[in-house]
Amino acid sequence: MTGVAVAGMTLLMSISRVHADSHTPLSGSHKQQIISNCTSVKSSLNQLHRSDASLRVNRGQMYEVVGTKLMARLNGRLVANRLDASTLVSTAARYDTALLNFRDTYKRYEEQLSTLLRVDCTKQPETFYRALLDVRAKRTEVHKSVTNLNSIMSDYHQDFIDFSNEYETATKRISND
Amino acid sequence: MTEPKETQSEHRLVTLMMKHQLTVLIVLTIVIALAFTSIGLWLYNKSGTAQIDLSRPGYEGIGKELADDSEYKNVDYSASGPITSETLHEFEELYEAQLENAMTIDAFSGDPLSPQSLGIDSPDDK
Repeated sequence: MTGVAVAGMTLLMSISRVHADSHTPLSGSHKQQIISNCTSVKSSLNQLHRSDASLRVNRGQMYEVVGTKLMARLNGRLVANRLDASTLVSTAARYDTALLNFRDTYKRYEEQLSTLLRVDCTKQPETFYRALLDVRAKRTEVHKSVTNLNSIMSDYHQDFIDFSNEYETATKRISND
Repeated sequence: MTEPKETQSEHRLVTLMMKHQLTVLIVLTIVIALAFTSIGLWLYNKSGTAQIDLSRPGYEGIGKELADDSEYKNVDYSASGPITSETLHEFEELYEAQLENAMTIDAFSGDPLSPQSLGIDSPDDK
């Protein structure tokens, strides 16, 4: 009970902190800090922009292959052989939706990051800071969508193992009969 | 009898166009080309292709960091044929390799955009 209360308080505190971060005006010293670190921050953001782009292409290619060359093909083959693949088909449908969500969240993140890179942090430190917080939230969304995709991939694997076991059992029973 | 004003101006426009056929053709061609280019660019941005187009400025030399296409050439499970223990085992091997690949990297994790990591957190918080 105490644990739940502590967790609730922590959550409330972090929410109010984020809320305060995005609404309270920046202090003069904070703005000055952004202005003086502007070049290094821009350089880090540019580097992140590049590395995230290659990560998006590499991960996207892998997820695409899993969906089209493995899940869809196995499902089609099972259906063609008149085997019950309903669980696998529904998990694959969830995977497709999650893949669309990954593409969409990354698109929104990249657009926002490109906008952020165009903001001059020496002239508009406050705008820059607010945009940075927004991009940060969007990157968290991308991470969540990747975690979701990986989790559905694991679910599909488990469904496949269950199907295989059932198939083996049924085959053995038929051969024994 | 004089022609109505509208008919007169239409007639003048047609005469003018007939007189400058080549100019009209060039202008029309440019307008059509601009329209198609705008539609193409809109689709390019809207569909998310722009985000995975690494030939854009700022992404020079990124090709080396990309996975080789041949990495996925072996991932080819046939969509037709019978289901046997062997074909299920073949699928399991292919799938597990990709599952391991997915789980190895926790993509987009960490918090590189936090003001703290970028060194621009509020000095009052320190």
